[in-house]
Amino acid sequence: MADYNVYVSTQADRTAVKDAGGHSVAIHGDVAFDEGRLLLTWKSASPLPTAPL
Amino acid sequence: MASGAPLSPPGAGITGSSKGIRCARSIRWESTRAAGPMKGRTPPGQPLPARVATSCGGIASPIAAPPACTVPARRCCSRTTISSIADGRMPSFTGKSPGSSWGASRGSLVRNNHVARHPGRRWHLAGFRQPKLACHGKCGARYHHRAGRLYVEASQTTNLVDHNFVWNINGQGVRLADTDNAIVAYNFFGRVSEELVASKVATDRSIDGRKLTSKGNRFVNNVVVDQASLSCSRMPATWRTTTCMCPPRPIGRL
Repeated sequence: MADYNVYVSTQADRTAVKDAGGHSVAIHGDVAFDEGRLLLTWKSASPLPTAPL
Repeated sequence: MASGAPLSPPGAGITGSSKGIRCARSIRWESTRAAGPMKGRTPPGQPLPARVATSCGGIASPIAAPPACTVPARRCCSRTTISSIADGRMPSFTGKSPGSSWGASRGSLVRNNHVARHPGRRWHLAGFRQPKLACHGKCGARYHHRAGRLYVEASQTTNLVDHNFVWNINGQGVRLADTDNAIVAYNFFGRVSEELVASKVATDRSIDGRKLTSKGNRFVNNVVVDQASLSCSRMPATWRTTTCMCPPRPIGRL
């Protein structure tokens, strides 16, 4: 079972995610990961979803 | 973008025993969000505050998206300590030494590790006697195995693979072989060339008279970056097949 996941695309031509579950979302955003500093940074263009803890 | 606090050197303040492992060093965290910056220190062995994981991970919070968000990858337990606790050996985690392999383990906890640039090795969490494994941390950076970087094998009880950075993997991200009821949650996946999670019946072994199966596994509350733009867009099908192949991505910025 896969659900409640966030599929982030950094490309404009986002591809739809199939069978991701009814509560998963696909959003567009900028993501970078600095391996040297072990630092993840990101900005999302749309609100993040609500999901159960 | 906001910047994160520098991380402490790995390997400090580690304790553990042959039956388990715990982090003696607290986890530093920092985040910025619309409500203002947050900083703090999580007590040793405790998870990050939920609001940090949710607001920055974008996974599970009923809040609006922050304008900018920074999540420092976390390190806690040292690599060598984990190995020595697991099986009594002390591999160096470099070169051709063993990675991390557990056999017939139970009650193990591996969390908040940074595993990077370790060619040809993998985290192998195997248990034939009701193990309960939790692997947290960052795994990635130029791996070359085709099998999963986080590998849970032959378990019929719940295993938890959470809070990992699975990054830059030439192969599968998480492999669940002959494993039931695993929960893969709150992980970050990026640049995984094959399946994010591969779950399958790999052998015809039995535990306590019951054939091993691959069912009841869940992939929830994860953040997946750019995987949908590759041929792995049918990611959920990886619970049923291992044929999803994606070209390795170049090293560098996403």
